[in-house]
Amino acid sequence: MRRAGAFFAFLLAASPVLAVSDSELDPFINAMSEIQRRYVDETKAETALLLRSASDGVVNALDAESLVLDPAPPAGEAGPGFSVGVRDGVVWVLDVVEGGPAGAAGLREGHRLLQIDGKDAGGKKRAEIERALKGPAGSKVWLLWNDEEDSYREAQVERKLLARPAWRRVPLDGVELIQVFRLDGTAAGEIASALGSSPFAGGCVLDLRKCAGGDPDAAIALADALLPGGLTIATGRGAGGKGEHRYETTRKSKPVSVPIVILLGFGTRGAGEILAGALADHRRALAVGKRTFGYASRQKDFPLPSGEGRRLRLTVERFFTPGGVCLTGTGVGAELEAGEPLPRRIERELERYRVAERLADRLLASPPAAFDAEALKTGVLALAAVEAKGKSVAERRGEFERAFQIAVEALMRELDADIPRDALDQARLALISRVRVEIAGRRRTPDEALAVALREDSEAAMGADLIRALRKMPGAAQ
Amino acid sequence: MRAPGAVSAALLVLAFAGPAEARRNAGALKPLLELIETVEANYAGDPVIREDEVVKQALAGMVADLDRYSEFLDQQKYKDLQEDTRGSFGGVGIEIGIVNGKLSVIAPIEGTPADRAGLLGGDVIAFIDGVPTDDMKIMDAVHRIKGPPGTKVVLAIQREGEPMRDVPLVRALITPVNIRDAVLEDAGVGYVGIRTFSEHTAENLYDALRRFQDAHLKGFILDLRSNPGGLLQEATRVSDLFLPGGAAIVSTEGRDPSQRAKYYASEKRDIPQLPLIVLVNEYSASGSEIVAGALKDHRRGIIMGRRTFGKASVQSITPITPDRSQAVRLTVARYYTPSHNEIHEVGIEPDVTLPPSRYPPGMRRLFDEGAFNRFAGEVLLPAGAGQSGTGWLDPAALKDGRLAPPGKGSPPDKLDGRLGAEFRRWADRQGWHETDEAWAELESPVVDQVRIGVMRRVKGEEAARRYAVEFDPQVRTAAALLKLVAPAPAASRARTPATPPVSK
Repeated sequence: MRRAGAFFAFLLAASPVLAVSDSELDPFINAMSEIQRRYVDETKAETALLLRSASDGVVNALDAESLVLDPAPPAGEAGPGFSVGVRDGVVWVLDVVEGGPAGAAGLREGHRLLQIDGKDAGGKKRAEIERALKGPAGSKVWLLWNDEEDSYREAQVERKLLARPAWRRVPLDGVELIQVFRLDGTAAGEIASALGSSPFAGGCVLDLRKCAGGDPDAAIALADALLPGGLTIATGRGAGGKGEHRYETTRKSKPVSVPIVILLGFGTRGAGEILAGALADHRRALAVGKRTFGYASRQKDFPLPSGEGRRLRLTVERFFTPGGVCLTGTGVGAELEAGEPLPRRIERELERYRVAERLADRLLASPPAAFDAEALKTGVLALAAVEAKGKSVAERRGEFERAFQIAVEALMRELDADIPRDALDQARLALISRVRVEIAGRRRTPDEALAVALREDSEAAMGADLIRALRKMPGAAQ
Repeated sequence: MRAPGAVSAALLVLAFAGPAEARRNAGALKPLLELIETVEANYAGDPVIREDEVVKQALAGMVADLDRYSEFLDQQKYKDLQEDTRGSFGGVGIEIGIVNGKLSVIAPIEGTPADRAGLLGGDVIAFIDGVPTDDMKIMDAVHRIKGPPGTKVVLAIQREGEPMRDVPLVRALITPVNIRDAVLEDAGVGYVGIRTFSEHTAENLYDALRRFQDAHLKGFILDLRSNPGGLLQEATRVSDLFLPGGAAIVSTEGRDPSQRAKYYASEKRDIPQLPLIVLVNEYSASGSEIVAGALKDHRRGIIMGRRTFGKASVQSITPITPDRSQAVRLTVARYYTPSHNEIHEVGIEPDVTLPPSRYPPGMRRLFDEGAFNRFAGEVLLPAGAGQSGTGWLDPAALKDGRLAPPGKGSPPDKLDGRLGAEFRRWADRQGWHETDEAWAELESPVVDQVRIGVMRRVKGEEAARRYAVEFDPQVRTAAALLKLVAPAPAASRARTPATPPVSK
């Protein structure tokens, strides 16, 4: 792998200092002098102001990652609990933090953010949007967005300090799962060495679904650790399509060879996509989930000598997969898709009546005889052991679902809710999963609750199943 | 009319400003050039920016930050603008403006796609084809909405108190009608509505006022509601028609000496100087404010309605390339009423403030469903124009598009009651139920609209619009007031017409 620094030295040396030609500049100067001579308000015609506006005009025409950075500090570090990606001026919601305020207000990955505190988000720079979302903990931010059905939704959301590691390890019924939230240099090193350690020898599910940011070099470094030498990790293209650079894996005696399943989704963006593209193209990992967001580029900050401490952040390189696909706009597709999500209509009804939360409340407050009260106390929803004795798995499953169904119907009668019966039937399995996660969330440690949530998550479950299946194959790593 | 320095609000083309003098600025450009060169040498993002576009982006950014009405006109926009001044264009038929900082519908043009889709003055246009309008320039919005007839554009409309909704529109050929005149027979009042101040507006107004001469009228109503302005010259000429010779009309003030001018009324007097009421609203802007301001300052007419918009600036267009293919539109002057009242951001306060004209809640649905036209056609005139489907309407009156009871026995208000009841029964059958309470509010405007619907069916769109003036509550108020202030008709006071005051 060649270092990024070397690449930039090459780029700068190769591009001569361009002067803007007189004929290009003349219309600008004419317009400026016309403003200074005739514009009705003299205070707005000052040279410094006009030039500031002109600079904004240049920068605003660039992509959503390129902007002028002011040295001013941000208003606060707390946020509503999601990040955004921008493509063609549309602001997409990514990485909604589980249990965060935005998630509770109904914001989901793939929704389109329209306004923040009454101001349009569309067409703004990504850093500006992230900044507008941030503020002091406890303050509130008003959001307007389009959900997956293009319905307009709004909410007043509290900002919270949501501390989260860059990555975390979640053991999942004998399979190791790594959730990556931010693929930076430290995380890449830690993940690479973890994958080389003995607990991971049996394989790993690498969950990139909420990996919305990071450093391209970290992705390249991690891909390098997982791939044999002499392969292309990604290709980068510089200004004007010039300065193409191939990032290659280094020769090494023993790359980390554990079986890997990667989980991809709309929230996978940037560094995560570079890693996913390399692993998928070289068949080093099996990709489960959905197509990624589709934006991977590198930014670099340039000082503005006359800019009073301001810096210019520019996109200087766009990334392509080893197979030559431009990640920006295309992303990485998944090989396997897990279960279909519930229709939006049913989702909305379940959400509106908070069915999962209420069911959890009821089951915990007065456990029906069919369920195991002791297990419920530890956050596990299971049939009472007495009734379960001596029955086949299928019988027990059927019994469990019937008991659950009775609890649901009792709740519906009490709520007098207008949820059609066929909708509940369709949602039954999903509802059981949600109630399990809800109950675990209240009675177990955060780590245990997370493991339950991932076990009930169809994509993570499929990933774990795949790893287990791989282990059973002849010649698999043990 | 004396007018030192011909100035037009929309179009003024100065001699091309050469770069020589401006070169002095070049040294100051260093910070910008640094930025441009860094971008050109390093930027690799998407969208790809061509090198020759970077300076244009700088130019556009510089002009755009000045105000909402200033703008860089690239080759395409400049060409569009020149085409626009020629008359008809492809569009959806709305006038738009910035109200409370938001891009809004000022007024739909009657009979256009926007009108049929039920857009209203005051509707906020939040997105055009999915693009947010928050920082969008007026002209940018206009370009996005306009396009070849037959093509589609989707406006996301935010109406107060309602959820945002997408309104898909198919563009049509729009030919704005600028003057609409009618005689309100009952009140003996002449009505002229001016939509915008474009070429020939003053001339058309002059012709309308001349036509009124034979009608022995008590007064005029000049309707400038939702008139967004237009050509400064035409607005001064319209004012001129109502003011005594030598009266100041408007003054323009700018840093550029050529933009400092004072306009006065001419000495010609060949139309009757009758009592006048000027109707304005919050969407009367620019040229409308010149007319209303001048007539108010000279106490020539009573200004009635809502405080006006408050846009009192003049834009001028200057080419900035030797081949005149690119230009900038800049705000170069502000205008002031004769007593030097500030109009900008302030607007003109009417002498008589009227409540905003608003239909009762159920009317919107009936308009949206085309209920009045349908009722007129299906129930009252099922056999075609002029042939009633009922026994209780006078066939002779119907031929003129009017509704009257047969014979002389029953008074007109009894007919209104019958029309209302019939309509309500019919509406119930369509599934549009209303409570008795709501209906009490609805009956009167419904009957008015049914009458207009019949006129449209029999005599066509334009006749219906003239007829609709009679049912406009604010026009009715103005006519009632004129009846009080005006003496008996005195046609003899009007002098013989001389030459028209407007030269072409």
